[in-house]
Amino acid sequence: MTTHKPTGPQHDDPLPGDAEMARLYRAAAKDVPPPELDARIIAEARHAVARPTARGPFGGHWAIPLSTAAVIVLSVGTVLLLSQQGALNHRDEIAPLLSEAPPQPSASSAPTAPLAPSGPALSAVKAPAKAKPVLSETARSVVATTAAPSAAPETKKTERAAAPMQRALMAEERDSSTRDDLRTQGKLAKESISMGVTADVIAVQVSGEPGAYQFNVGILSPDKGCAQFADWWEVVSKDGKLLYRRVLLHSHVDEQPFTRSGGPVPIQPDTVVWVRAHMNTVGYGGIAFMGSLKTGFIQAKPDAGFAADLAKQAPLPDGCDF
Amino acid sequence: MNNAVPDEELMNRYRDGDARAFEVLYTRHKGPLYRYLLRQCGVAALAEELFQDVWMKLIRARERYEVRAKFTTYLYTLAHNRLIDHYRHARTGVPMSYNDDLDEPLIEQVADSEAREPDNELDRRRLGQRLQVQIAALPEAQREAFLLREESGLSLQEIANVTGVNAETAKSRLRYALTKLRQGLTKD
Repeated sequence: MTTHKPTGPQHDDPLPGDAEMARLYRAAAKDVPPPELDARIIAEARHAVARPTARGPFGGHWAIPLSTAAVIVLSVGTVLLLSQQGALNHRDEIAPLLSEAPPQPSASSAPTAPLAPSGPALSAVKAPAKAKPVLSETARSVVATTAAPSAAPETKKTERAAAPMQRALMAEERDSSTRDDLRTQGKLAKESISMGVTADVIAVQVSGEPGAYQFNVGILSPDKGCAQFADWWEVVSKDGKLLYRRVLLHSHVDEQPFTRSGGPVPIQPDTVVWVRAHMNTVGYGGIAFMGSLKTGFIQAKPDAGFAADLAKQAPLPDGCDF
Repeated sequence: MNNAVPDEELMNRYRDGDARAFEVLYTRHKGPLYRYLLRQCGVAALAEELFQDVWMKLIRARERYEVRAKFTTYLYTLAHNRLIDHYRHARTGVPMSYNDDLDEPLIEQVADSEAREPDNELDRRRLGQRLQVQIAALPEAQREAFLLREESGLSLQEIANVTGVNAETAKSRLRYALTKLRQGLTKD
């Protein structure tokens, strides 16, 4: 017979005098994972079984070669388009565009991305950012991604009425197509412009209360294992002070892009911060997000060398698991 | 009477493509598993990372899942292995307590009646907080045995299976853990 849930110790060899201990422990053991983490794991579980496994005419052995071929065709097309436009064929050339000071977001209008050029080629390189303003200081979540679609008002209304985990799950589902888009865009961008060594922040989601916000940060990084991987993301004040760092335990070779949460981040709704990632090989230098809870976050690239000394400041990684 | 679907059946259903079965399974086990990892590594961000890794591993391995033992044993074996893997790659390495040199004197006889019985809710809460401190101070291997029993409800033999030791070692770890906790609570 199997148990349907942990129902307490099975005392096949009871130890004397521990009944009260068990009662005390269970009364005090209330910690649970944050709702955002619940939602992310459930979304991954759903995503895993939603992938088609049927071996139709294009399934089975042909599935990977065909998808690879499609990426190659699209990538070549992208590079050709970029070449014809005399535009960007190396990631470094995008940097000046991204390093321009982002427009100051206002509460009355969603900020726009600093990337002006448009067209299919560029949208594959980097889609415009859309940050959503937060209406109140206790608002539970502000999301900014490289291509986040706005949710319908009804959807958000339903979300607000739901329990925390359900709410997070709804938000996760709402953004799941965005994440798939990001995966595709990320792969295309990586393969078409031979970028290569830095870690980009591609999404920022914030929830919680003033002074103790929880950040969920999406990262796209060229991980190859412990020799080359994104080893942390961090929140930095406008003047370069480290506010929070989330050290990553391992590389994410098979999970790109990936999201990791962290907090509490001790900021107020109007505190403007940078959210950036770090590679164990080349350090900082990737695309970051900048903004505040009040105004939303937009993609931007800090000036070269911005707060570079933070790379020596604790907490630092204690090895790499794999 | 409990009509709940057994864990193993839910895992079988998830393996066969039923995402809803996973959600039920996850909801049942997320709290105990999270607390096990949180108490073992002490840092919420680290626990969350390991927690996510364990579930991701389970998700990726679903197609190979076969019922060979209780699902709980399977889940906590994944968690234990992930934890040890993390220790191994950290600068500090696998904690010495896993070497199981349990030769320190064990003053065991603190009977139930001697353990402080909380009189009211406030006393109980204070005692619960002190217990958390005592648990944090336990050597890792002993703390793990205690948590596996209290959080996952595993038997001694199952704890032994999960942690890759024999039943006697698992029992010793648990006895040491309980004795130290009891001693800690009866001090002052």
